[in-house]
Amino acid sequence: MKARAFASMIAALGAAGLTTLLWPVHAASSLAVSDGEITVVVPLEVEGASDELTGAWMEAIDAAWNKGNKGGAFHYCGRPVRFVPVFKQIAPSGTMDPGYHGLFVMPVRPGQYFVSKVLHQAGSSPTQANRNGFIADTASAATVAHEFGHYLGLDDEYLVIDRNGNGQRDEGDTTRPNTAAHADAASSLMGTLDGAVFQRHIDEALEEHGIADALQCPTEILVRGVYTTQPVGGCNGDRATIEARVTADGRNDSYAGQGPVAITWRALNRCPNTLFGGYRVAPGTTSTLEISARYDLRSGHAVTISTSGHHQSLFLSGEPIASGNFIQQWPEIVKGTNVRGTLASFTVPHGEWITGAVFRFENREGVLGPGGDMRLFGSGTVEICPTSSAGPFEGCTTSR
Amino acid sequence: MRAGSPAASLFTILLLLAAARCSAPATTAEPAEPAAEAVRAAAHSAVPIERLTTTARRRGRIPDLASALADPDPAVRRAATYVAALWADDPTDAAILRPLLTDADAAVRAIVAGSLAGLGDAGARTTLASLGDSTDEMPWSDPPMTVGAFARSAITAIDAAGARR
Repeated sequence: MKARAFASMIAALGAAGLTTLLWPVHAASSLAVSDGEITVVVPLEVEGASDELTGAWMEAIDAAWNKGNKGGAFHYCGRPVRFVPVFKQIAPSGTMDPGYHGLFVMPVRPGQYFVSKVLHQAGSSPTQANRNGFIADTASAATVAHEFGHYLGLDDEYLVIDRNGNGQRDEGDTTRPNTAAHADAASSLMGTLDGAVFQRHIDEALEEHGIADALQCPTEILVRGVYTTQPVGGCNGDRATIEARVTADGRNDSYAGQGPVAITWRALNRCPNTLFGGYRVAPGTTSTLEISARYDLRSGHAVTISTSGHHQSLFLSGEPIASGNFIQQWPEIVKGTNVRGTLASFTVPHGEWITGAVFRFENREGVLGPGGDMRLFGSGTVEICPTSSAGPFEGCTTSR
Repeated sequence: MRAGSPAASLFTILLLLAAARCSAPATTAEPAEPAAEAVRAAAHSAVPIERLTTTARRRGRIPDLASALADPDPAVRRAATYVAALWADDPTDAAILRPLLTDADAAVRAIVAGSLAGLGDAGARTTLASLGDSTDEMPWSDPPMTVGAFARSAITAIDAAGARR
């Protein structure tokens, strides 16, 4: 053990009182965008790990995060996403490199119980503040992949049932998947070791690494929305409600003061094995995914919502599929002020995954421009990308 | 001045009196069992596992945790067991930990059994096997893990290590 590094970290822990873990602020992780792919580099300075061990961990991370999309990469904005952990042994002096997250390996005998953990400063991005993790040298591939998720800035997706309300996880307290935040938390790697990486994890990780800036999507105009989800998974009657709430006026005032825009996804399934957050439909069974948009746009101008053109495609496995294959019905739009309504339903073929859908918002009055896109991820993430001057917001932004 | 001499004793008494006049609060004195105090503090802190990780990595002696291992507060016993089971590496340690194989808390039994079974303790392995169906949760596990899942994975890991030897 490099005593000096560990001692300095202990000192940091003590100084922080262990409740607000204040790590040196650096910009360890980084993100690069090219036409070919999006790369997230996660530098990890390791104490106590052999090259063989870090090699095994790289494979575990690669399998979960780079090949977790049915054996292939996840995508974002049409580009494959690749996560690159870079391991470096800590210097013999014990001095930690500010350009790396810390990773302290705990030697653990087979049979011993050790809780691997990555500590981070709440609310800080991995590009802003380094993480420090403790992982057993016997940690499973799933544990390593889970902890890597924390290095990417992702939180745990389970809740402790705190029976006595003391804020602690006492004996007898149990946990449950945090389905209020993520309908699919019970099958998510960040919620359970049996879980998987989902597209929404990629979305959030990229957001944590500044994807909006990298893609030059200004986000200052639209305030992030909120969403809620309701009963999880299962079969008939499953539904999730996603609500994006616009709370800021835009630089063009035609939509100024508009109310919430609510979008409802509802899966009508006649099969088991259906999950929200992916809309998996068992092969050989009949399922219908019904997507509707409820809107409440208060505006002094006519508002048009349409699905014309390719923007209304659904995304299968991260790739857009021609809309004509899926959209059965999308009624012609609504005009007027203070309009409300419900639109659209799609049918999904057997055995397919749907990870998102794109809606097009358009103002046909020609006042504000050509409109823009709204993409709904199966996880509930709402990404809105109006074109320039199309509405009260510009650029892409997503709810959380 | 020689240690144990009357003069030395008098000097010691004077020193103690002087220290008493300074009336340092008892709470700031060095605890008699730093490790035991550390796990007690961790057990009821807002971030128990972070504190216990720190203590566990410091590597100490299990006898230093004896009072905490016998503490009537199950939270303290869990915390002490977690650290002690990671420190255990010889028969002397096993003798101290073995009584916890019958602890009322299934997680405590599992943690001790896993550690001792890894040292070749047949009784501990039997205890571990008996916990295979437990649906209690392991303390602080991240992501959550049942006692049963831990027990089964521990047996698998011990057997695999044995096969490699």
